Amino acid sequence: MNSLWVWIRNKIAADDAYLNVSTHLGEDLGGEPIFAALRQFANPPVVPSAVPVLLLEAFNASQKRVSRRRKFRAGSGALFGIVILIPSLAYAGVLPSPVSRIVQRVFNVISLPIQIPSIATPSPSMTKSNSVGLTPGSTNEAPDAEHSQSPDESQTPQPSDESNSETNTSPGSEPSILPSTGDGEHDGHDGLSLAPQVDSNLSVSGGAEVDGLPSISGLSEGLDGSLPQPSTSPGSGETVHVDGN
Amino acid sequence: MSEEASVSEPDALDAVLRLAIKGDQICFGELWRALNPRLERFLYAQGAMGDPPASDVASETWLQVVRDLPRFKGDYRDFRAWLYQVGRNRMIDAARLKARRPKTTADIDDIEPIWAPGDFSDGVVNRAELKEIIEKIHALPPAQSEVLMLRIVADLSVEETAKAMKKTPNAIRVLVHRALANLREQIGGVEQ
Repeated sequence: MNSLWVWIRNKIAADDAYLNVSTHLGEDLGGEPIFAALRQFANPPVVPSAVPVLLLEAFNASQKRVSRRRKFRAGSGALFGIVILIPSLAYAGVLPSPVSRIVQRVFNVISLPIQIPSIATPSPSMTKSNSVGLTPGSTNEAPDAEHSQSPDESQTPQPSDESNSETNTSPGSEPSILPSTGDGEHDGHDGLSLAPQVDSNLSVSGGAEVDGLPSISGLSEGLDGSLPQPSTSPGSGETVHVDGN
Repeated sequence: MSEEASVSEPDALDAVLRLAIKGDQICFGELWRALNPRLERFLYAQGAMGDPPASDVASETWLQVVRDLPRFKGDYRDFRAWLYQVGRNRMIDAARLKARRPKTTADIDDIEPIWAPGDFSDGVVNRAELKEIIEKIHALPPAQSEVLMLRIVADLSVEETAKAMKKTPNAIRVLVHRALANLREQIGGVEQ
């Protein structure tokens, strides 16, 4: 144990002494006669040689790969600029106003909710009105979800259904038939949103002629089937009301 | 003459290396011509020695260098150290592959000797001496053997050898010192 420790200490001391004396070993190895043959072997004769073709091809392929990677990075940077940087700057007000306006418009289009068109189903009220004497095929095929969900409401319409009237008179709503409340509040000629004005002489498909009923224009539209009825409001309830009359 | 060339060579090859990194094929060819002969000799003397051929290992080394050259940062000395580091790794891979290969049952007399320096020892006057010194270096511990080969055959400086072997320069100096001592002991010379 003691001899091992002495050996290690001597080794370290020798290394330290060597490192202190010589920090560059070029001279030491250069002067070593035992390496003469090895040094001779290491010095290659100057023979012009051509680079292997495969190596050159690999070099070219590597360069192409690098250039492709550079282009990809540039494209990613540009995409980042378009998607994130430009809108951010536009909202920050750094960009000029036309650009900001365009960005705002694009953002509005992107953020619009997706509208899925619902499948049209005949409403119960229309079926009931058909039983008066109309052919089943002559009903309008454009009832909406509200229409089909409120058969009771359509049968017994509220005289002062303010919510309906508010819905119909909203500026953004589609043209729809106003509900007939039966008290003459809407006479059918106020024309708030009734797009196709129908003559009072229109006849229903059953052959019965309805005269002088301005409020049944929606009915005649709905029963005729020839006129478009973009009804998205509970105005379809008036049909039953008319039939009841 | 050779010292003058070694002094001016790195400076000239620095510019060549920069152009090669940028994609200049001719400059890469110059680099290859300047470094490949010594690399092949180092691989031949250090490990590969015929199976697989040192030139094959050198080719794999250069292919790896070509793949990673655009990402290389440094001067010519760093490049040389990196080249030998890659060559060392490829040589280890080749040795592992060789060890995994199934052994043949051929007679040992039929197998050609591993040491056949005919390819690279054209300019060597005393081939027997060369064979002897290489065998003695191979008898050293692997790190000492490798450091001697890198310092003598590859002609790397202490710093370059340290980079190639991923050690500190002082560790390389100590390794060289011990390798020399062991070698002298083997040869029977007078220890300094």
